[in-house]
Amino acid sequence: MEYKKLVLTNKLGLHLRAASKLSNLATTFQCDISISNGDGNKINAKSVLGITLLAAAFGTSVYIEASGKDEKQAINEIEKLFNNKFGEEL
Amino acid sequence: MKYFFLVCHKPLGSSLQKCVEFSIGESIEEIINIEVTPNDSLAEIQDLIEKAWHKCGKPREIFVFSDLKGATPCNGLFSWLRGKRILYRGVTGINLPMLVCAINHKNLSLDSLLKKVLEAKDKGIQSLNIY
Repeated sequence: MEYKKLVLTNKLGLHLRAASKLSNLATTFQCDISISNGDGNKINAKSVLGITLLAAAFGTSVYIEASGKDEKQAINEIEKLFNNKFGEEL
Repeated sequence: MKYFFLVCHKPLGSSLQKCVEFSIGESIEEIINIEVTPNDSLAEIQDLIEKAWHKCGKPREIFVFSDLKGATPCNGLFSWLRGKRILYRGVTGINLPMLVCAINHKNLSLDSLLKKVLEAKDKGIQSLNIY
């Protein structure tokens, strides 16, 4: 299992469009990927609605967990998406 | 391809479609939007749905959304479905969480999709708390 703490640095946080990008990316991997905001409630990172309902705003730390064959690659690509501010504010 | 038929009071369906497309960043050809105006009769609504169904290749399985059970768009949809030998699942009370969820899980079977959409209904409507 791979685990990574990431901080939302885009101004709009995990809003619907960002959630959609994360979900689309997560869906390209075979492994199970979850996201949580630290309250113990793990959300399937392949679910747009689940991610959006986390209501994670700018500056929030989220925890990504990947488990399966391509878990390392998944975490790396998701980290890139976060660092890239979901393609916003470039 | 699974089609999602939105049969709603104008302009609700097209507005929801635009919201989802904006969020995903591309047009979603699986959404078939049938907009009902106050002057449309049940027969006219059925005709609109029939034409839309033909236009997308007469799919044997569809997922349907309507806005309000008992309202004219929904009644027209029911009348049309009653006369068709197609497999369908669907819900009334369409909202953005349900539509986002449906598109996200469009590759599931109709029954699994229905389950997901009903979960989205429960999760998507919450009392508003400061978080």
